[in-house]
Parts: sequence; structure tokens; C-alpha cells
Amino acid sequence: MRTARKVLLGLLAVGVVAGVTTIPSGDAYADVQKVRSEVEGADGKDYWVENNLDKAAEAAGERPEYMVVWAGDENIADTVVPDVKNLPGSLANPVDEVRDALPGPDFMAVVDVTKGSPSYGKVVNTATVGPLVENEPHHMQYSWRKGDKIYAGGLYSAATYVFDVSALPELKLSGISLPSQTLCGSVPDAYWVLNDGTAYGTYMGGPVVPGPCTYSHGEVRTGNGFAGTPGEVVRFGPDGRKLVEAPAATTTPEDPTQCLTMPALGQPSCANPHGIQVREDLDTMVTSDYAEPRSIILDPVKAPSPYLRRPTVRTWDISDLNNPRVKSVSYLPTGPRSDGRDPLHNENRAAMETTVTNLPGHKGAFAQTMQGGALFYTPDITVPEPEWKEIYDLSAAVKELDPKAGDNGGPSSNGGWLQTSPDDTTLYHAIIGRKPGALGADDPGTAGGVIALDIEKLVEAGDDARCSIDTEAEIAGEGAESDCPTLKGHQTINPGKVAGGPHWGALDNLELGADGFYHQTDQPERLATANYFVARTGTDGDHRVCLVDIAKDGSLALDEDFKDEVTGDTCISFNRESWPHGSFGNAKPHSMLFVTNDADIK
Amino acid sequence: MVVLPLAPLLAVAGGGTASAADTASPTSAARAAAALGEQAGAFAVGLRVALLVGTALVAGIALVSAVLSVRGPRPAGKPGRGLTVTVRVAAGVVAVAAETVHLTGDVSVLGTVSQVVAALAAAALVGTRWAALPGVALAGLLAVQLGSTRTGLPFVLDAAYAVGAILLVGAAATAATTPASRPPTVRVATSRTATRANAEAPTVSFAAVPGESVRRGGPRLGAVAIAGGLLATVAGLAQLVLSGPETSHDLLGSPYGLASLAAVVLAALAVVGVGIVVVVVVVRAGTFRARSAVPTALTAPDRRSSRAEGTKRAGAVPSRGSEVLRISAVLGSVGVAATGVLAALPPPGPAPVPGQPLLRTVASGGETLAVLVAPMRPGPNLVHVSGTYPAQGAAVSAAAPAAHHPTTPTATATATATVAAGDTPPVPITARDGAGGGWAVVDLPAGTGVLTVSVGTGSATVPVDTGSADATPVLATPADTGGAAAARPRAAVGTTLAGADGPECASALLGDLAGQRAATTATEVTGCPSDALSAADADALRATVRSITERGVDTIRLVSDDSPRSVAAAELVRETVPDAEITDRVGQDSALLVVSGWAPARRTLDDASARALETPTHLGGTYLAPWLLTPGVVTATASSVLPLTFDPQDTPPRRYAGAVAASFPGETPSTAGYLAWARHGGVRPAERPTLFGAAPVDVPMTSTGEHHTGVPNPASWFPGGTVVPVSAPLP
Repeated sequence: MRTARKVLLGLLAVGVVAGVTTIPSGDAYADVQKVRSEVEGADGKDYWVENNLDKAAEAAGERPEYMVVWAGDENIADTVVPDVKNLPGSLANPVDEVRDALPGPDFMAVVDVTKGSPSYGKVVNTATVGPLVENEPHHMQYSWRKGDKIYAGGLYSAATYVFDVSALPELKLSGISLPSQTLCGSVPDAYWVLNDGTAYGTYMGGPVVPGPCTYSHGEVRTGNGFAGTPGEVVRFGPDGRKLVEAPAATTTPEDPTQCLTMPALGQPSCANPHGIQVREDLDTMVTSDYAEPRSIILDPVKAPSPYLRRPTVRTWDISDLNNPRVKSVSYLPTGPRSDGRDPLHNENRAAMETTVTNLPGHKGAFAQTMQGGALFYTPDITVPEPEWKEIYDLSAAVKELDPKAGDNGGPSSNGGWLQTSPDDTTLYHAIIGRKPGALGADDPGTAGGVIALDIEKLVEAGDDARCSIDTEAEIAGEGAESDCPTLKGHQTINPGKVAGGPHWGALDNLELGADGFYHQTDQPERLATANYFVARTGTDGDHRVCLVDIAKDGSLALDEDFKDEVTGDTCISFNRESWPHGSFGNAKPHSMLFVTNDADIK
Repeated sequence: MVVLPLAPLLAVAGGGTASAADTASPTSAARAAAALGEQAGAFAVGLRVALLVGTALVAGIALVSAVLSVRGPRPAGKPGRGLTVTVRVAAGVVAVAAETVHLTGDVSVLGTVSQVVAALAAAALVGTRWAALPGVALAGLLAVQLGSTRTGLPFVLDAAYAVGAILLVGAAATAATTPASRPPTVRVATSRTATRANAEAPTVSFAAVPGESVRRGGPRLGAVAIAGGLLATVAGLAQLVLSGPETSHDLLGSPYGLASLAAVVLAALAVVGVGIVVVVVVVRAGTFRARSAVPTALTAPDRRSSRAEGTKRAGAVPSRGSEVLRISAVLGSVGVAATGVLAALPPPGPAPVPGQPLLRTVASGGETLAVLVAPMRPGPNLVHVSGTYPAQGAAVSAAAPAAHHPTTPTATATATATVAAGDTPPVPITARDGAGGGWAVVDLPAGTGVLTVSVGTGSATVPVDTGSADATPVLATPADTGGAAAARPRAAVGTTLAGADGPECASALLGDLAGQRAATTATEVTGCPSDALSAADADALRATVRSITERGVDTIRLVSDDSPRSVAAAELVRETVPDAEITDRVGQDSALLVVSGWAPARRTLDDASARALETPTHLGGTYLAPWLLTPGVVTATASSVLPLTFDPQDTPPRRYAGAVAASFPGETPSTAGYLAWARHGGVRPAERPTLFGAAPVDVPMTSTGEHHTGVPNPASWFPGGTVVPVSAPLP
């Protein structure tokens, strides 16, 4: 018996050792099919998207709905050590670590978001782009409709990619626009796809070369260079071809005190368009100016001027889609919080996003300010001089997201995504939250999340809208007028974690109909959030993408079933070791869209 | 101090050639990167050493006992108490260390379980033939772990060392701790009785009469131990030849050298110890036979014999043989520990070669710094040290440098940072405009010697070898192979390196070093980029100035200096656009075109940028010569345009930037460095230049305390910004 035990023990040891050397290590993506799609760029080089389709996770026997997430590689070195050497007594070769310290590709992640699917929340494809790396993937369009291409920009590469998603989960590259094709602008930000499949895109930064730049229709504006001022709007074809470059700057100087540029321009301008939305039926486009997207660190002690953040919103006449012209430049009003002592946190500071109403009878639009922490509304964007009023101070909502915030959660609450519901009853807004110390050494910061405001009364009031935040009591108490927005839903993301909320979001405008196909809906039942801003600014995020359910009454609740396939935690994390395209480590998800295969939607 | 190049000596001793070491070992840049990279902590190293030594002991004892049980008299006997305790303790150490590593690190679960189970199984089965199975498994694991940082032949040598050490340690420990058998005559007689007591009697140790063991088929433990020890010694020596250190300076003056030496010497000493015992036993055995006496002097008392008898024998003659064997086993174990520690130590730097740039790392004041010395000829030599240093004449403490590896120790340099050649007065290490790191020019005498680098409170030495003073100056082709340059005497290289354009030349040398492959034959420093205007750069400048004037800018502020390249470039600009107004004055609508070296360019851009904050300045654009693409220059302006024949966003330029920053912390990429690096990989620049825009891009965030908290990649071509093509290839 004793001998038998010893023999058994010995055999066990041998078996385990043999197992180490013969059993392959677990690979989450063992069955990956690579499919590459290439186009030739204007510079003659080949640009590609390489699909890495996880065949094991592909949904079978149902019509899948996907979420595509435009994500950047975090560029952290990943050392791939063979498992045979990954033993307790082994050390990694530092030379190998250096060898592997190279940036990975940016990619479009395709996530299965089909409710009830066995692969719900799984990444079924990562479509990597190349050869450009470190694009800093940023925004796409705000929503997707059947037949639309996806337009996606790289903040640092100044490139616009156009993807064909008709055969999801596989993507194809339809085209790419390089900075040498858009000489009068740089730093692409967001896109709006028109009914004909073309798209407008905002280029927040100035012309790629300092000096005068001639736009498509002969307009000339002088800029201070790449990532400077003024920016532009570009219209792209579905093949990525540039159709037109239109100046965002007017021919007359803008307010020199509020429109600082560095280096100084002879003609001041706040034209750094970021958010963009369009009402083709009204021949009107709205863009919001965020900031001059560069910082010049000539004096590391001195903070960049607050006046590099813009307080302006522009309306454009797009009656000729190929000749958009700036119709008005509106300076958002300051509110009751502004006292001149802290201009960076005036309510109108840094107009990052704007969103239009959608229904034919409505002509209004909203705007928000990232540092100002306020929401604005104009009832009619078609008039020559739209009148914008502050209609909500985020202090009222932030105290619901973070009870510790008190009544001063609005300033520097870092709001981002702003979107009206298709039926114009709800305004959704993503809020990162305030970083500690933003308002002073004693400022503990605030948590963030996503909110839903009831805007039905305001929008329905039309030109008679009365809401205006103009008293201190309205800062944290919502507006006094009866048509002012009210909070009807909120969902904290990362409760208790300051500045831990999302920067971006997307509504799921797709609905599975009784016919078994997807259709557009004006009653979205869920939205997605992404916790990433721009790492280089110091506001990074935890790289999680969450789904939030929207109830009939407008209340919001985190979708607890949407879990990370690696950790099992709610929300999917883009901080993971392996992807279908390889072990490239963490990634930065900036924006996303709900999309289906073209054959699955009517 | 005389620095002996060991590689040729050791290579000859090992039957190889001097180039064997060169081709098998990593390049100097790779070595520097490894030394500067994240090093294993003391806790991790301690666990590794405990694990490896424990594994060697358990594997050795298990294997030897298994062989003994198979080849020895039937039935096999149990090991003595000392051996049992030793193997159990060792197995326990393995189990605890492996589990601790698993809990505190990222290692294979199966690997951990395998090692723990094998060690415990070996301890349980020792004394039986089944112990061979976990013993072999442990030997395999040890071989893999000992050589985990190596590949190819060096890995094989580490594996051979592991096998040799296992045999040495196992045989010596077994012999030292297992009680000697009874006198052969007694044992043979009693073993046939097959009683339980005899069945459990100790096996034959080599300390018993060797001749008798052989006659009865018992193992010759002495031979096994000696063979294992010799294998380990030879493998360690071969590793030393193959992997370095390459100089006596490093062999005796660096932890890596001392550990390498210890691995060889300790194994050799263990062989000597075991050999002495064998010799003594043989001699005593002869005496025993002659006197018909028991050779108790080299055998431990048999516990199963009469305690009184054992005590009497042990007391009569101390078991010095066992003590020597124990010491030999310990020496073998320490040898394993030394070999295990090697992987956690910074690898030694290359030996200095006259005329070739030397890239090494030095540990000074608890920090690791990279040092470049060029051209390694008698006379003025440029010394480039990583870190941040005050400008010449300033007496302020410097901040920490940007390091490629976040965990790389940072240098805290002060105005006392100096470098000295031999006994000469130390030269301050200072910053230079447009370039990172510290710089000093020192006069090196002919022959070998050392440079003493003192930073902060510490100092370290770098071996140098400038060769013969009367070496014939050779005409050399400039480093840039553009073809427009005239040949220059080799002696002029040192002058250029010591001058204002030294940092750019050093960047080219670092790029060349970073691009070298392991089998690359190192080249001499033959020229600097600023020696002449290359055909490619001339072409790019012509196209650029035409582009400027075509954009309607008719006034160009031209900034140049007195280097041969800059003078030629300025002349070319004037010839290309004779109708344009070329001026040296700052203006609002003019374009700024800089064709000087790095330092004047940096100062020019600083001035222009400061002015532009107050008033519109150079609205015609800021244009830089191709060689000015380096962060120290382009980050001085909000926006600049450069004609380039490569895209910094492409993979090869990024790979270069990462490689050079890894081997020299804080070293930023440059056009000259990339072109030198690219030549090794066969990467060809484009035929026509393209204009690239360089600018900071940093979407402003919230407020004072929150801004600029991101960490730009120091290996970037434009930290905190981007460089993108803004034109089609220029005609």
C-alpha cells in the first residue's frame, strides 16, 4: 500500500509535468479568422483594416446586433513570454521586453449586444487599422442608419477613416482621408452622415501649415497652424474622398478677448468646431466650438488661458450641401455662477457638443459646455441670429449622481456626449465628473454618469420657450420656469469615484421587429457609455463600456447582464491582455455606435 | 588602470575565436536597454535563488538515490536521516518559494503546481527508483528556469550547467549525508539474509571502498560528482566566454562579472573538494586492505550499527571527508545560486574598441545612467550621459530625466556632475540647447584607461581604449552617404563631435548602435551629418523653398550657422529663389526657414515663439531643414513644417524611436539617428521629400491643476504632439 501510494504520487507528478509541456495554454481567441481590406491612400500607400473575427463567438441562428467601438491601443509594452519559460523560477529577459515595447494597432471592436445572445458582451472582431498607429481614435457619427458608412477620425493622425459595415461583424475600409487632403484643417473630431451617404466632419484645428489657406470655394483664412485656429468643416464622400473644405471662421474678426489664439492671429477667431449636427430639412447645420486643440508649454507654471476654450456655437446654411457657409456665430451667455473671478468655469466655457431637435415641427438645438457645466437651448436655428439661453445647470444633476457633490457640482463637471431622443422628449448627457482640486485645494471632485432630462415642454414651447437659468436659486434647483428641463433619469458610472464617469455615449436606435428584422426606432430602450477621454490630457478613464437601460418613464439603470467576457464584471473593459488581434494589452474606447449587418435591418 | 579585453583570451582558451563572443552576445544598445530596463527586485531574486538551489538539491538527491536503488544491492535501502532531512527541507523550500512566486507574480499555474508536486514527490520517493521521475522533471524545470533569460547556445550552456550542478550537488550531498555501509564483507554477508533491518540498511556510498563498490555494481558517486562538477565548470566557463563580461574591468568590477566568475570557480572548487576525498579514500582503501581495517576516517558511523561502535569509530577518526563533501555540495549549490542571480543582474557592457563609439551603462549613486563616448580616439572625445543637467554655467540642481521605462531609476544630477579621464581634472556635464541629456568634452590619452563619471553622490568608471596615438589618420566618408560631401580626415570627427553639432552627431551614432544586429560588425566613427549638405537634404530644401514662394510668401527669414552643411544650405536657398527677399529680420508675414544646427535652431524658435504670443509673427509659416526633426527643436514652436523622406508615424521610425530611448533614457529621435538606424534594416527613405507638419496636440482639459498631467511618450517624435504629412511628395 505504501509503495502503491508512492507510485501513484510519482505518476501524478510526472503527469502534471507532462501536462505543462504538452497541454497548450488557454487562449481566449483560439479560432480567429483574419480578413484584410485595403485601399490606396492619396499618397500612394496602402491603408488597411484587418478583421480578426472570433469564429467561436459568432452568433448562430439569430440576427445579431452589434456595437462597434472605435478604440486606440494604449501603447503599453506587452512582453510575450513563452509559457514554457513562464515558470516560478524564471525571469523575463529585459532585452525581450524592450524589443516588444512598440505601439499596437488601433482598432474598431465589434461587440455582440444582441439581448439573450450567448455571446452577449463578447468582442467578436477587432478590425485593426494600419499602417498608421497612435491615431488617437476619437469620434464617429452620432448614430447609424441602414446603409450608412461609418466615419471615424484620428485626433493625432488627422486622418478620417470610412468603414463599410454592411457585412458585420466584418468591416471593410472604404477610404481614408489624409491630412495632406485637408490642408485647411486638422484634428478631426466628429461627423454627421447626410441622407445621401456623404458626411460632414469637424476639423477642430487650424490649417496644417501656418499662414493663409485657400478653401474649396476660394475663401482664404489665415491660420496659426496644425492644431491651432481656425478649424473647418469638411464634406466627405462615402469613399473617403474630400468633397469640400469650408471655413469655420468668418471674414470678420471675432471677439479678441474671448477668442485667444496661440500664436496670435491677426484676425481673432473662436472657430474650433467640435460637435456637429445637421437638420437637412431645415438646410441648417450647427457646430459648437470647443477649444484650440493645442497647448503651448512655454511656461510650465502658468496655466493655459481659459480663453483658449470657446464659448461659441455656429449655425451654417447648407442649402447647397457642397458649399456650407457660416450663418451665425453665437456667444453662449454666462450665467448666475459667473462672477469674473474664475472665467474658466463660467457657464459658457468650452462648448464641446451640440444636438438638434429631430421632428419636423421643431427647430431648436441644445449645446453644452465642458468646463462651464451648463446646458443651453435655442428654439430656432434657422433664424439669422439664434438666441441661446442657459436652460440647465449641471449642479442640479451632479448632486443626484454624487450626493457628496453638494450644490456646486456643475463647474468643470466635464460633460461630453449630448443627444436628443428621436422623439425630442429627452435629452441625454454624459458627465465625467470633476477632478479633485479643479476648484481649489479643498475641492474633492465629483463622480459622473449619464443623465436623462425631460425636455418635452421646452421643445414644444417653440419660439415661446421661457426657460432661463438666471438666478442663484436655479443653479442647483433646476429652472424656475415651467418649461425648464427636469431630471427624469440618471445612472452613476463608477459610484463614488471622482471624475470616473463617461465622456461619450450612444443611443441604441435599433429595434428588433416582429418580422425578425431590425428597424429604426424613436423609442430607444438603451444607451451605451464609454469611459475614456484623451489620455494625454490627464483625463484618461477606466476604459469601460457600459450599457444602460432606459425605462418607459425615462429612468436609467445599468444593464447588469452586459458583462466582461474576461472578468465577469458588469460592463466590458478595454483593459485586457488579449484581443482577437493579439496580446496588445489595454485599449482606449472613445466612441461607439449600434449597428447591424445590412441583411438584418429594414 | 589597465583594461584587458577578455573575450579574445577566453575565446582562445575555449577553443573559439574572438568573434564568437561578438556574434552570440546582444549588441551594445540591447545590453544598455537591458541594464536600464526594469530589473527584478531583491525579493524576486531571493525567491528565485531559493527555488533554484532547492530544486537542484532535490533533483540531485532524487536522481542519485534512484540510480543507487536500481544499481545497488537488492533490496534498496533507505537514505540516511541527514539526507532525508536535507531533501525534505529542500523540497519544502521549493514548495514555499514556488507558491510565493505564484502568489506575488504572474507565472504559470501549471508550472507552479508541477514544480511543487515534483519536489514533494521526489522527497517522498527518495531512496526508491521512482524518485527518478520527479528528479528528471525537476532537472528539466531547473534547466529551463536557469536559462530563462537566454536563447540559443547560451541557453544550452545554462541547461548544461544545471544538469552538471544537479549531479554534483546530488552526489556530494548523498555521499556526505548517507551513512557509510558496513565493511563490504559484512554487508555482503548480511544482505543475503534479507531481513527487514538489512533491507533498510543504507546504500553504498562512494565513501565506501570504491573498488568494492565497483565489484558489486554499486554507483561511483565520486565519479558522478566530479563529472557533474566538471560539466558545470566547463559550461560556466563557456558561458563566460560567450556572454561576457568582455573585459577584466567588468569581470572583477561588476556584479555580473563576479557572479559569472563565482559560478565557474565554485563548481571547480567543488570538483577539487570531491576529488580530494576520492583520492584520500582510494589511498585509505589501500591502507585498509593492507591492514584489514575499516576505513572509518572518511565514512560516517553507521547508525544501525552499534551506537557504541559508531561512536567509537567516529570518535576515533573525525569524518573530515564528509565535511569536505558537504562543503562541496554547498559550493555547488552556491554556484547554482550565482548562476541564478546572473539573470537578474545588468548585463556587462561591451569592451571599448579604438575608433568605435562606446555605449555603456554605469551605476552611480544607486541610479543607472547611459554613457556614450565617441569617437574613442586620442584627443577630444564627446561624452553623452543620460539625465537632466544644468546649462553650462548654471549651478542648479537638475530634475529627473524622462525615462523610457517608467520604472527606470531616474538620475538626479547636480552641478557636481562631472566626467574625468584618468587623473585629469573633471569636466562638468552640462545641457545643450536642442538636445537632451548631459554633455562633456574630455581629452583622452592614447591607449587604455577609464573614464570616471560622477553624478550626484556617486561615481562609476567606464573603460576606454583609444588605440595608438600614432595611428595613421585615414580619410573617411562622411556618415551621411548622400554623396555631396567631401572626404574629411578622421581627426576632424573628434572636432565636430566636440563642437556645437556634437549632439546631432551623437544622435546619429546612437541610431547606428540601436540599429546594429547581433552579427553586425561595428563600424568606426567616420563623420558627422553636419560635415556636408547631402544630396537628399539639398533636394528637400530646394523643393521646400519653392513651396514657400508658391504659397505667396515672398519674404523668407533665413537662419543658418557656420557648419559646412549650413553654409551650403543657405547658399542653396538663395540660389533657388533669387527673386524672394531673403532676410535675417523677424517679420509678421514672412516665413521663417531654419537651416542651422540644433542649438541655434532651438534658440531661434524660442525667440520667435515668445514674440508670437504677443504679436503676429512669421505668419508665412515656420520651416525647418530636414535634420532639425528632433523634439528638442520642433517642440520649441507651435507649428513647423519640415521636408522629410520618411513618415515619423510609420512603424520603422517609431521602432527606431523606441529602441534608441530604451538604450539611452531620455534620448529623443532625430532624422540623423533614424537614417543611421534604418541603414541596418535596409529601410530606404522615399525618393521625393514630403512636407510634414509638426505641432503640439493636447485637447485642453479642465483647469490649472488638471492640465498637463498626461505623460507624453518620451520616445515620441513630438512628445505631446504629432508629425503628419501635409503635402503630396514635392516635385
